[in-house]
Amino acid sequence: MGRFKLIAKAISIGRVTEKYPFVPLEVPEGFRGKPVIDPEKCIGCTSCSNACPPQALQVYDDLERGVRVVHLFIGRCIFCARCQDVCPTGAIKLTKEFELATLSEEDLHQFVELQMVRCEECGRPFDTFRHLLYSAKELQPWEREMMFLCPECRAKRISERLIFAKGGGGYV
Amino acid sequence: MIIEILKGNDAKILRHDEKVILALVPNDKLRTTAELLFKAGCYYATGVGVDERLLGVGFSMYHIFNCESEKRYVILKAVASNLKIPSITPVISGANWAEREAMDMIGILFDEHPEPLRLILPDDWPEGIYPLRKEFHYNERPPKVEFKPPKREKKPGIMEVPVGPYHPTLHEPEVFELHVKGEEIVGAVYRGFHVHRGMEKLAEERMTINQIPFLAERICGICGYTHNCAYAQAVEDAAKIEVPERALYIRTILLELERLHSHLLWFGVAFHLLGFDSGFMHTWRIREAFMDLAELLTGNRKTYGMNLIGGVRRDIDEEKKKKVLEIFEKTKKETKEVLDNAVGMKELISRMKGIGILPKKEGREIGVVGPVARASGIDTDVRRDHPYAAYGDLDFKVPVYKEGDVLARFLVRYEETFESFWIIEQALDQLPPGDILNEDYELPEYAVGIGATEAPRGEDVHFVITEGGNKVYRWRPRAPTYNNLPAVPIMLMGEKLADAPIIIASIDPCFSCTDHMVIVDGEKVCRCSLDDYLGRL
Ligand code: SF4
Ligand code: SF4
Repeated sequence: MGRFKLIAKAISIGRVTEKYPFVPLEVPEGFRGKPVIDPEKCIGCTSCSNACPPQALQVYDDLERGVRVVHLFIGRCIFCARCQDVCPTGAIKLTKEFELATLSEEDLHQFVELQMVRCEECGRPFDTFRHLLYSAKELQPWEREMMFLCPECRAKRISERLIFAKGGGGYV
Repeated sequence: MIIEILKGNDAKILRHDEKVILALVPNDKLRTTAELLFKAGCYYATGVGVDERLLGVGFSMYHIFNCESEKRYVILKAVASNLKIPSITPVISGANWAEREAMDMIGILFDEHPEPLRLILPDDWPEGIYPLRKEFHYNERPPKVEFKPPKREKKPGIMEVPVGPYHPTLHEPEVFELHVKGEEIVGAVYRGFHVHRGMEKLAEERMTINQIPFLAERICGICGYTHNCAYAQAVEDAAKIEVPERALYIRTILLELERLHSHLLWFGVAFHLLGFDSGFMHTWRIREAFMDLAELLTGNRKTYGMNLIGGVRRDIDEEKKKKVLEIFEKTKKETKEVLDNAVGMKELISRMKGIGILPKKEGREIGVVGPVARASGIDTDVRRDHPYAAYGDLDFKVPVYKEGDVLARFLVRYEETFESFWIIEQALDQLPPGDILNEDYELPEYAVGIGATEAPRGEDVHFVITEGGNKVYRWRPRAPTYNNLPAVPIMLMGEKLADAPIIIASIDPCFSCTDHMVIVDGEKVCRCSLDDYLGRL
């Protein structure tokens, strides 16, 4: 008996297989698809690469050329959207795109190159312009003065001043 | 009562609260203590070997017991002296694999272990290199050593039927070698561990606490979120992190959604194996609605990625709530229709009735969990016995059947499916307002935590030792199939060959999650290494 019921059911439901890929597939709002970095907004802060579980995002400095490279490799991406969570400027966003099959591996890479600032003292590139400007907002006036020094030179300058301040009485 | 047993055996209590008792037991008292715990109704959940040399302790073994009567987990810690710890396998057979795993991965030797043979490491792995010791790096590749498989001799009158290296329907790597006499199965060999992914090492060496949930979720391709939750709970337990109520409810909703799609998937597979393909099509058609729901609530059909330590990442708003209830109204009716229709089919039911029986006593000894246990009269369910997420506030039944056959396992899942609908409806209705994520916490150094969830396949146990900062020192997940697989050879003995696929599938196995091996030789279950077994053939 059960079998006939099932036949009736099947007829009443009809075909459920989607016509995809001949018709596009709708995905809901908030779908976690391919991440894309907006090169205009990215400041090269490395938050995303620190959060990314499979290391699909890597940030490295090309000291010779003085640029910081934010490299996204979709082949490793697990579409978790942690990068989107932690990005301070909203530069990296997950899109609704999920059709990522490609004949050329290059399509799976995105590189964002950001100009770096050279240290006033030693000349080594140490941070991106944009990140420096972004964090300048939160700096104390006395810190701003040393903003164009790399962390090592900054530490050196501070300790020198402290020694000087001890001798001279009072902080300069 | 448990605490008296521990104190009576000179154990030093390291942690004692409503969830966990952690006790350091002197080595000479370890076996008696374990035996007394087992007799007091605690069953063996798993064991974890830890390289604690960096903490000035040495190598240690944590034996985890599930004490349902006290709603607690009891952990016995033993520290190796001269690399040696007495084995508890002679008194608790369920500890066999865990001890051998620690032997392979950490290099602890277990005194008087009945079968101290390799379990996890491949045969061509060199001696004396232990992957979970701290000096071994996750990306190291030790040189292979040559390995010659022992010669095998055929037993007269017995045919070998290989099932594998991929399971015919589950598309997972496993090998069952069935030994048959005519139509009857007289022995079964299970060989696994082809897909050990070194997750524990990766997590403790390379990842941060908030990255590991995403790795944990990938333990299983069907019930991954429950691993994700168990891991998060373990860290939250170790660091005593308060999780907002709303987050707990959202976790509950997603956990049950996962159970729904997982059970429907299983019904489909079971129907397919039984030759009832239209039933398979219909259950999977209905299941699709739950996949879409998951996509709507989390952003992905399968990998929800919703947990962080301290809560969840996405809220469920009124609109989504409405949508869930709307879809439920339809799918609940349809699920009932299709499943009831199947239950009404005599031919189908008689294919499941009375086959693959697992008696309660054996089940308890092995420590089976989830629907397999509940179908054999063992009344256990982590959701009720160790309430987590929002289960403590919600009403649900735990179906238990005495028969222990494939049909009983089918019926347990059948009833659970409707309980899941009911749980989600309640949770949505009572969803409390407030935050969903608590990020205000500090990870303590070297605190031990346990997280347990009731996955669709049974109890998941995750054990964590924190390192402080944002790292874990040790993480050990244990999937339910680890405990259920040893029962399969018992179920297979004496059955018809044609019934083997559905019997194997009836535990809803997840090989990649577990990957171990079981051997049945004649009438005796001897969980030993394949080589040893083949050598004896
Ligand atoms: S979505 Fe996840 S895996 Fe992909 S780049 Fe972002 S953080 Fe990395
Ligand atoms: S700005 Fe955003 S995308 Fe750019 S490096 Fe920082 S976190 Fe990554």
